[in-house]
Amino acid sequence: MSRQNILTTGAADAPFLQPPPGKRFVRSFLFSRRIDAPLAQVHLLARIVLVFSLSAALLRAINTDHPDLLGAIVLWFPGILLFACSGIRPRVARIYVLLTIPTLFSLFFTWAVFNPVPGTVLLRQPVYGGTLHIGVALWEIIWLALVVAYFLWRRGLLVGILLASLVTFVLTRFVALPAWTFAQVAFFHPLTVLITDQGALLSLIKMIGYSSMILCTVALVMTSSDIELIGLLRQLRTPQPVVFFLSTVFRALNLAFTDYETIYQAQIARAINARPRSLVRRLRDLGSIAVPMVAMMIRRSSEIGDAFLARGYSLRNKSADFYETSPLRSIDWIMFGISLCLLYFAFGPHPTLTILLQRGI
Amino acid sequence: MVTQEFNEQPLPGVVNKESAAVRIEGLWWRYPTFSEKPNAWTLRDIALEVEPGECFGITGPSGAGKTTLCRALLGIIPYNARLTDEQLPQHFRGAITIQGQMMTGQTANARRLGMVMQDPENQFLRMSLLHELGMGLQIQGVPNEEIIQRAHDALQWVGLGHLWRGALYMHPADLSGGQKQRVAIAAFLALRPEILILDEPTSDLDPVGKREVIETIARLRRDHRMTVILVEQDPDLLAAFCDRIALLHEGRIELVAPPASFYAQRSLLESSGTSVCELARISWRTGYTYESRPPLTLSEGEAAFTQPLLRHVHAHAPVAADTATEPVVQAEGVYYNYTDGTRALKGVDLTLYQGEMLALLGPNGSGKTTFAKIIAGIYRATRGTVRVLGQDLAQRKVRARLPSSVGYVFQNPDHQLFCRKVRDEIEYGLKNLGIEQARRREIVDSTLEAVGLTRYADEDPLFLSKGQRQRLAVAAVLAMGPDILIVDEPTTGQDYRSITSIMSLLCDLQRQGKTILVITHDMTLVAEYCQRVVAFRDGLLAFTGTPTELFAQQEVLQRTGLRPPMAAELSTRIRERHPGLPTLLTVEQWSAALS
Repeated sequence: MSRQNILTTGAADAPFLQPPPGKRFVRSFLFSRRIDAPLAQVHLLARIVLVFSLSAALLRAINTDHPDLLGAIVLWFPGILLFACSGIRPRVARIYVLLTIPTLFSLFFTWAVFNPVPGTVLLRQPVYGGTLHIGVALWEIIWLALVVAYFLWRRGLLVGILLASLVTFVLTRFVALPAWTFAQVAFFHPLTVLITDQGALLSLIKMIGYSSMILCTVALVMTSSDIELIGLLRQLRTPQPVVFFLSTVFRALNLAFTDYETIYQAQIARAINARPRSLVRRLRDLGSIAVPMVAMMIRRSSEIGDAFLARGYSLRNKSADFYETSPLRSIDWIMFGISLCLLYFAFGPHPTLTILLQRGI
Repeated sequence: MVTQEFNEQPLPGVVNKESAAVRIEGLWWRYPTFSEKPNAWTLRDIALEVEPGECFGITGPSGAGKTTLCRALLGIIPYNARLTDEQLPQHFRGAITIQGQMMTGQTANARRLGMVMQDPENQFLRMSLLHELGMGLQIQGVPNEEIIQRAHDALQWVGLGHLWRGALYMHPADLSGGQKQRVAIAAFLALRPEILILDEPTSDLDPVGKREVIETIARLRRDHRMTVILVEQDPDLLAAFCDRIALLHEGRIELVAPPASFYAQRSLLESSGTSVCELARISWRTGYTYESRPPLTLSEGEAAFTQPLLRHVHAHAPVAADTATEPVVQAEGVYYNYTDGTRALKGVDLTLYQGEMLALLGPNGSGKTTFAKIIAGIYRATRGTVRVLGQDLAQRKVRARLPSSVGYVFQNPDHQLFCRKVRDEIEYGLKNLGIEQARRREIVDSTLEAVGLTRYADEDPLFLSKGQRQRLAVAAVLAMGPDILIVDEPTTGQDYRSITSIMSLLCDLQRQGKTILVITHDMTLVAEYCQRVVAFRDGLLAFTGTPTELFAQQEVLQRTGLRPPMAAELSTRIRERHPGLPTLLTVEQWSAALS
């Protein structure tokens, strides 16, 4: 490598600023992203402002008083676009999408059931008659027996409960099992699940809005690195001790994560998976990781302190910028422009897109 | 105050007070304690002088106070110990002068000293290679152009020039342990301190890497007239690179001398349990010397031992050939890919036999630890077949029950101690295996007895010494009754006594019929204890055979970053001139041949 090449410090083509040869992914806050991810080319400040502005616009679109289906759908696409441009590994993206789908469905049903909105009734299902029946049913005895038997057999509780629930549910569908009621006590008032068309529509809008917010937030976290954040804090003239503290926290978390992996491997080597474990046992094993983790953290913290002192660091130092900050470029200003539009969409005095469409029709 | 027998005499190459790079006078230090009873003194009446441009070695057993002395030189002790003016005299006495300037609270952080510590993880303070290399210079306000130039040069010096491209993107987790250790050294070389303290800086490096790094530092010392204080357990490095060596034992400096005189002090070195060069040990045992002292270099060894060896050659008994037994591990075409896409193993075929002690060797990041973790069921091979005691590890159930057959002892005991009592620690794995209480108690008692920790049964493992914690970690795995025991770097950073203790324990287990797999960079250990060696290179097997065969093949040694121990190297050298002489790998074999 020529000396000239090393010293091209101002140029973006300096070798140390180039992606390492043969490397397609680099590490970020969570997991890793493609080196050439389009969203990562945008300044962190512009990315943060963009994601917050998009979220603000989405919050207006999913407002309970004035829900805007068209607005939510239109704003859903930028969220998906940001996620697609984040350079996230396909495998990790699939995991996030798979985790998001049940969360959103749960959100849909919870909102529809617990936030009744006037409208045409789509579903009316009484679930509680206002009276508590004190007694015992055969299915309850079967359920309990199955749970206890499973626990004695496999030392597991959660799977036992699930299996027992499934068996008794199927059984009660096909066989009329006897029940004995000893007393009836009036308690609370009758409860009915009621879903209207407006309630379902609002839940759908909420689901669309939150899905976009989740994915664009994941995109922001996936494309950002600690170095970028430290650089941004420097650019924002954050006090040196705060920058130092955060920088050390990031490194300490990284070390703690590495230690956790090794300690967990050491637990595997000590046969924690040898037998099926109950939930309590799993929690206890998880808790026992704390002993070596704390011991390692104490030992490390002392040495990290020494290492800082050995480099001549003190909180009074004001270190200069060294390839941490990056200037704002045209693409960043374009993003700020888009953010302004989104903020107008979020807070501006205008009717919703759905109303505008209805007026047009 | 106890007077120093050795330091009252003029030191070899003594320097005057004004010109000394480092001068320590009557230094005493004890760590603060939370109880009323004060701690014992860690440093006791230390008096030393280090000449400018000198490479000064410090050695001694674990817990002697070596790291504490380095911290004192850096001013961390006592000036960052948060002691009040009233408390200070209870903990700190004496004076330290750096380049003629008395160290005080104000001058303690004067940036003339740098210190590379043993654990590279704890010194990697930033989240990219570029920022890590530039950090110290950034603090000093050096212009960016100069930082770049110095960081680049330093990276080249430690043999990591290929990482310069993309240094901004290089995360600490992307580097192997050995690479991190080199980066830690490079970060200080970039600072170009006038005095560089190296506290066991190469313990995680492979033998060739270790030598390369120390040679680089020695060259820089000559070129820049840098003073180097090297704290090391490795006697070969100390003898090869240091002008003088100090022996620190129980907080006292017991000896300061040039290497030749230092390693002539047999009784002192033996009583303190200090690691000693193999050639010196041969000389002590056989009485053959070079210019009335133990030889330290190969040339000196050749001069001292060739003629006696020629006279005694008939007495040498041939090394017994190992006999193959039942295979216990059979690996065929094993591949392993990490989640980030790195291919760690690229088709490994290997068979392990019952009752053998086998060494897994190779440079940092060559795949030896990954392979060992696959055998232990911690990782699952991406491709290929691994059968352990006839069971296929592709099945999850087999891997889950594997700890009862294959034990894995991690390098750092602190990663594997989960309980607050020594007894509970040994019982932990037994409980997981579902062994009933009465049987568990029996096993715990017998295991504690076997590793000599019975009197610590109710102690908290965190308060044991590092050597004891290492034994406890082995004991905890051993209690599960594995037939195969994998031990990762059992001797790294340990003194001679700890190494002997842990290796004799492993030998006892081998005699009981257990198969022992040792992952190591310690070639003396390989020569003395292992019947077979396997060397990895870039995820592939580069060599399988006996230590004798390995040390005879220069090409394999170069390719795998290995270096034979001094005793074996001397034997090879003498055999080049006298091919009829036997191959001798260890001090024992040399002693037997010369006696």
